[in-house]
Amino acid sequence: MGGTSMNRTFSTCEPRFDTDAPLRPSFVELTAGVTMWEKAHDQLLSIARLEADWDGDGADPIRPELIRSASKLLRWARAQGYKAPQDVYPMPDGCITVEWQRPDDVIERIEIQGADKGLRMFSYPDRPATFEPFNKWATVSRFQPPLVAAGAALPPTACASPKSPRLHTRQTKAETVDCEWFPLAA
Amino acid sequence: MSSESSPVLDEPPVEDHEWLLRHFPSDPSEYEFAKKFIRYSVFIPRKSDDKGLSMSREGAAFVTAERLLATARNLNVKQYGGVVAVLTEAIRSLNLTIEITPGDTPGHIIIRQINRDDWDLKATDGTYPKQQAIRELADTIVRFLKTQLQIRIHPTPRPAKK
Repeated sequence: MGGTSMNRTFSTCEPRFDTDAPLRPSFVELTAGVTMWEKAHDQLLSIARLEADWDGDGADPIRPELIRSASKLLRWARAQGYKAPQDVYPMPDGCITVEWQRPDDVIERIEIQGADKGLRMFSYPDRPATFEPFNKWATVSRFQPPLVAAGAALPPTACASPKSPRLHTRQTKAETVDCEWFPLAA
Repeated sequence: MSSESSPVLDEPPVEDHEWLLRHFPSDPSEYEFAKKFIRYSVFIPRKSDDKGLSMSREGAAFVTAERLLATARNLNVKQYGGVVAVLTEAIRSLNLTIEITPGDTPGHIIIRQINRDDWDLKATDGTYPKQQAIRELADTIVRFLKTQLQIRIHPTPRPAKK
């Protein structure tokens, strides 16, 4: 628990609360000095810039409402205290997948297929995948300042480690970034 | 071994021990660069997979991974893409059918049950009823068949657009 290497992922605060959702509780994580939430944010911004045929293999364009939905999902997940996703990436049919890789080798994906419409997929190492509709984030207002809730879940004073002053710096920066989260939603 | 053979092509039936190749673009949606492994989306049908998932038989009489990439039509695959190989026996263990069909390279086959036409099939309620089964198959190929699946050529990251 905790660490100072800039090249390793580490966590410095305990989960704030439990939920019945299968996503893992939130930690502040750094990989190469960038929080996982920042990474997700950057990935979504990159997806928003994609044009049709973005993979050179006939992929559909990414519709703006899916970008907005993905943004809402990320804000919702963070506000709920969930762990940041490992990856956010587009699919060849124009959907957006948000992916969590759990320590038990289960991969959880939420594929955003429409405005506030998603499919949750659990991929197991030893049995067939399971699926369920998922749109719990749909009630989040897209105009809601995202870090009101997220800050409550991860207050800097609770998460900053005295052994890791840089962590505090990075988290502050992440919040600054998040306050400007996806202006295209406006 | 299968009794499947081509009615139109003079190619021998696909043997269980043969490897089947599929190329894929250099893209984070297809390949996890940090883990150096493919995602299940490699086996999600593309527009060109309208009648079945396109793959090619590996071998001197058919095609090599390098040759497969070289013949790819799109530049992203050709210049930066990767190639994955799956053992025929593993594909058949999932009750999937391998069908020899004409293609861009010798030894072209399709897996009929994984096709884009089904993927795009839209029900009257707006849902896509076939997608879940296809996702499950794609996920099973990548996660269950790890020992019978090899990355022949790892993709290289595409340079960022300026």
